[in-house]
Amino acid sequence: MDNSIVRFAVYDNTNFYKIELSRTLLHFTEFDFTYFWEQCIEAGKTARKTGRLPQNIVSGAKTVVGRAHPYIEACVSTDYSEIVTDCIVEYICHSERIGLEELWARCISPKNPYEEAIFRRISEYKANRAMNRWTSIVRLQEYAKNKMNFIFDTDTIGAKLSDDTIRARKEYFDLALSVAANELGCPGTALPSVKLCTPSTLPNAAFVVGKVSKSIYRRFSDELAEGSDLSAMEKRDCSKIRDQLAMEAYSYVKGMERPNEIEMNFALESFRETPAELYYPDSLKAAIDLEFELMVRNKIYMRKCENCGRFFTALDDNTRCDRVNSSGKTCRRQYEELVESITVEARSSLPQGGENISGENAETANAAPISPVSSVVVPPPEVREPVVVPKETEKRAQKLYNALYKRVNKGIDENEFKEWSQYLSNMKRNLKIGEATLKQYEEFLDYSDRLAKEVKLASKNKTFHAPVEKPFDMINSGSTADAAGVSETPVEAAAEKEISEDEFVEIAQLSEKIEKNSAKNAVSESPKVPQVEGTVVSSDNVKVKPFTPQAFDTVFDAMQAGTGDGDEDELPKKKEKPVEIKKPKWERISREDAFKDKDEE
Amino acid sequence: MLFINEAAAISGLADTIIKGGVSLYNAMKYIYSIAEDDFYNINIKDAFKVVLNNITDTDCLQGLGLHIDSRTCAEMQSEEYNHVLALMVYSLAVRIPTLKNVKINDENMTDDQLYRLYNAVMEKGAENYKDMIAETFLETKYLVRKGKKLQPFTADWYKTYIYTYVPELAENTNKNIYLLGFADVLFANFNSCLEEEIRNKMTEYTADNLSEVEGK
Repeated sequence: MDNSIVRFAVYDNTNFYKIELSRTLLHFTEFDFTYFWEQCIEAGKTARKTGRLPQNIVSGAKTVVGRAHPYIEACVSTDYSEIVTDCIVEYICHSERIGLEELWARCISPKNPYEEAIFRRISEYKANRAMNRWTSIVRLQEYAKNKMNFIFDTDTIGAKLSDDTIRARKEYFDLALSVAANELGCPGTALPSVKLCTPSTLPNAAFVVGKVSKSIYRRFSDELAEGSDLSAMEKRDCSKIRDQLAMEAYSYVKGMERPNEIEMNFALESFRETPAELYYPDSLKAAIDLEFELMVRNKIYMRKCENCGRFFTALDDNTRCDRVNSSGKTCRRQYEELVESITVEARSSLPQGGENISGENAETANAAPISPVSSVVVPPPEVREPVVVPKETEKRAQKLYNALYKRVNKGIDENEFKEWSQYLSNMKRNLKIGEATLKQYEEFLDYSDRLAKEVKLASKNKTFHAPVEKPFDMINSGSTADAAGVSETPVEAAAEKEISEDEFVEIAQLSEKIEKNSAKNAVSESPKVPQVEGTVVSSDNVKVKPFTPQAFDTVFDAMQAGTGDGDEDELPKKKEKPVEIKKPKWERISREDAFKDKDEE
Repeated sequence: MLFINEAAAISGLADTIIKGGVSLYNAMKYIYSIAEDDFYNINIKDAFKVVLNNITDTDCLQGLGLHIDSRTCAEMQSEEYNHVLALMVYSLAVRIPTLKNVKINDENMTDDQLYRLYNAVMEKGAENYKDMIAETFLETKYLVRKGKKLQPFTADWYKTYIYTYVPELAENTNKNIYLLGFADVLFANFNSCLEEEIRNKMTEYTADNLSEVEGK
């Protein structure tokens, strides 16, 4: 039996869904909700004009959000059926800076089905019949990320954690939540939970195993028709009389004999089709917690990639993930290639300059392949001055975005648009951190202008646009990781060690050679995403950041929230002093020389 | 008062009063259903706001997620309780003479118009069943003409009727006490909101041209 897959069922649904341990979690934490968010806003705008939500956009958006997690997919027509309205409500409150109460009062005399839908939904929130599912998903995504970090993150990269440590961390995290809930007066029974069931003990078992249930019902229909009605119990708290209710139901079938062989075989076939063990989570949080629990139980752990910093499933001792990064290679492959190239270069270059290297180093270089990446300490990335982008240029970029967004699937392919917009956001981020220049940005916008024209033309002709020549920089960009300062060259490595000046110069030359070599490789392998030189596509900016709604404890807090300037969802950046790697100077000075200036003062 | 189409105006105003009566009748049922399942979930203030803001929307409380059915309103299923609807409409109808005080463009409704409106409402099913309501159209008309204060619109007749003819609701249960408490507050506010609605309708029917109405 495959331990990495578990199945679960949900209320009001007779299908079974599966959770692939660690994969589902990673997928959910990295899921990009931007497209869903945009669809909801589009639906809201249309509804304002027409008075009702456009069903085609609504169902499209629901399909998109269903891909985030199998639990959402399972409940998309029940608990999550109003998620688009939830998203619109959140958007209105956020953009107009009003609380739910005010929006509710605005729609108290609804003039059209759209307002009525909003009014009904907020009434449901007020009556505790529902919650805003959209904000709940966003919060749970953050919850899952935090829990993952708490359990699997290590202080030193590549360090291994024992099974006990991981379990203790998980338990500690869960206990913290329980303690907080308890102190706030929330009963433990009100918190999300998971049941372990078999298909026949599921709350909706009679419908899940429908065929067998029907044949059982046929046997006892006469007795059951005269039985007492227990439906009134549905609305009451039956937690203290569960056994009594069960025995009441059992009393009607207690005389049951084993069915004949044909019927038993029929049941056997039915049960063979269903999984022997089923989980029954009562919420998305419960499903997420279940995955963490089973991961820990089955020793399926996660590790942070040394290259991109994202979590991946640790199947072996490797410290790099198998995700394809902006260079078109996986982090693992990129690392292996780097190691190979350094080894080759070191073998071919080091013997000529071997006289200047100390005996021990020379021995190492000749005897065994160098493993610089694992042993060399990576210097911290250099912090550069942010580039100020003129407002006209920003407006131009926004216009281009709008122009292309309007024509998605009408001249430009959706994936291509996503790729383009991702590139734009990367570029903007790089400008902020000083990794790209204004000229590069403008070049990219020029290219985008040409692209927009082609797309416009193509949308008129109802075709997809002709290929647009990309600027030289975009095609010939080097490894993006280099620009981020993540990659290690011998120069940087040498800075951390005490070596002579001659050795330093020599290693620097070697490093240049390697860089040139890797640049050649990058040109020969055409990358998927066009890169402008200096554009960093790190783990953070590969993913288009979804909108994170502000969370307020009270309506008053929401009203008090200050006006943002668009950057509010970004974390405050720490201002650190740039670390410069200087060429070491080895001049010896006397104590007198050293303190001469101070003495004069 | 000069209406664009007097017959249509009288019929429209009668409809408004009837809808008001039905709305009041349904509101009592919806509120009764709160006591069944949502006592701690639904804020009664919200229920008031919704009813008083949608005075002619007979099922406006459905927006709060409330439903009337034989389970939640079992005690209101009796034949006797059904007469409450006719009584509620009648209680609003006898107050029609107060519309004499409503002036639009310095005009008010004539006695004849008011009487026709009263008749239209009565024709649509209003009834003083078992003479539960002491007030009459003529009495109100007299008080208005003399400029005297009218009795406030209260739930007294409703409670008397329930205690007399609907024993299921007269029992001292949580639900019943909740219902009667709500009735006191709702009746007191309901009539003034309905008068406001009728005033708006009258303005609509006396508008010089349709564009004025549409502009509004």
